[in-house]
Amino acid sequence: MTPQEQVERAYKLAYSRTPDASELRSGAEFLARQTKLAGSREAALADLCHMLLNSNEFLYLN
Amino acid sequence: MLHQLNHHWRVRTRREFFTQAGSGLAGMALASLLSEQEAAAAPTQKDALATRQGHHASKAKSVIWLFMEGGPSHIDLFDPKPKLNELHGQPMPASFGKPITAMGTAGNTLMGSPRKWAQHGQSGLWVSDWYPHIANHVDDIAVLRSCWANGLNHVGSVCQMNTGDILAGRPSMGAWLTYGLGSANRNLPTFVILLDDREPVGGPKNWSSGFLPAVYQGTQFRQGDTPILHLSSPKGVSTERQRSKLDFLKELNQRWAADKQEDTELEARIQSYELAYKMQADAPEAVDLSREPAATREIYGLNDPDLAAFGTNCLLARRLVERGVRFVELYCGSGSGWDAHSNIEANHSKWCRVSDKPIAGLLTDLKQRGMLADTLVVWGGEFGRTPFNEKGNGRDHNPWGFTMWFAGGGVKGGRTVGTTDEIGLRAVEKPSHVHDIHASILHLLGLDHIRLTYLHNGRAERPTIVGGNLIPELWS
Repeated sequence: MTPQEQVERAYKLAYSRTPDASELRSGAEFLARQTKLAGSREAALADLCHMLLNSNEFLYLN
Repeated sequence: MLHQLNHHWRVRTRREFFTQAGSGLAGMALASLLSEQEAAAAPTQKDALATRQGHHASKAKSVIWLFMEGGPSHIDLFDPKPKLNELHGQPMPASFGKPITAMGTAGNTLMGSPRKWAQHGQSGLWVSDWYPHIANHVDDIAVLRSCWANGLNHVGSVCQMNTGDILAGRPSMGAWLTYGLGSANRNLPTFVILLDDREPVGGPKNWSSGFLPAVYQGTQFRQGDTPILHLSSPKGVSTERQRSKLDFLKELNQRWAADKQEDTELEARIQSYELAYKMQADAPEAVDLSREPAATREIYGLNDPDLAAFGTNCLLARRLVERGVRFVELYCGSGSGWDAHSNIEANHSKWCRVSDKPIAGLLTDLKQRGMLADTLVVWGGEFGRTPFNEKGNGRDHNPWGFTMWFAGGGVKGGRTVGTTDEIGLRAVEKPSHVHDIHASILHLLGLDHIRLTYLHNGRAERPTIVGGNLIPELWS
């Protein structure tokens, strides 16, 4: 899976929707940044999921 | 004024339309009444916690509220009643009427105070032998003997003492103060709650922001050795990695909140993540009491296991105020500890001992550090107790006349203000309602309770609802 595909999969699992273009871009950028800071792609993915699960969109009903 | 109300926003939802419509109409009315200057204490929408000037110059910068939850007996602590002792064992004279009490005890016989009373300090203020350490500080204390409130039960009364109303839902005084003055230290919460036992009756509604934006709600610390959890990052998570995660989270949350501006909880959650991150810098040091010298720990009673829980909170309160926290509310006997319906002797002996030395230690410490001049210390419960007995050796709830005291922050000590009747049942001279007390506390902190308003449902709400008269005898 490409980073974009991983971001899309995470959005679908957490929010039941696909990310728009800017969300895809910012998610992929985050993965790249975290891979450097956390040392592995796996840890970066964990950070992405951690933040999606802590976000207001996940926690609050619209 | 008008530009702050933003009533020309483009409206995207039905809910937003009604919010805007309400503030728009009230806004026009308000703008004609208020000048820009009068709106000085209203926060801008951009930064809800920015430091703001009050309405007038003030000595007090912070409040430490010592809340004796459950209702301490004023007639056994600060308001001696020789006539009550004379009438001990007799029914209450008919001239007092028959008040409706929580437990229906007004037909019971009067019960004198078995305490030994003495005058203390230069001022000669009366304090009973239940408070020997606090008695040494009377020259710094103004004792308000004529408090009164509306609630008969604990939930309503604790709620009113915090929010002005016996029904939950309004902002607590700590929230109003944070709204009025903003934060003085962005690395710590501005309004902190400390408990020494169970949860106070009514729970977190007592430190709620009510209809004010949620960012102004109080922050409850934990009891024991770790007041705040998770102050350091997990092993292996660098500051840069954590900051990067929080930046991403903030972006997610801001994107989602963009069309939901009326929901202040969303902004409060963004702010609370930011505060949590910043607290990692300052909070570990602020809550580390091991840095305090042995002599200081001793005066707060930390070496006595019975006093350690409340004493720790008193010391913590000083450290927080020292670092810019504006409002610390410490419950003593949290969960209605002081509620002595029976055996007041055992109940109050316990809670007076628990609170006496730590509070005296706090006053000594604040004074030695020059902090008493700008820290307002408030002592009191949600009501007092009745002159007639309950179950032979206890006292019922008394909201018609009770004592609170104030020290520091511009208060003139060594005086009593107001009186109760000869048996301590009702406030007689200078009756001071909870709204009057709230208005006076806000005044001492530089805020005018009438001009401190927040537009809610088209109405300019204020901390004292439609009441509140200042009690200048406390400071002039």
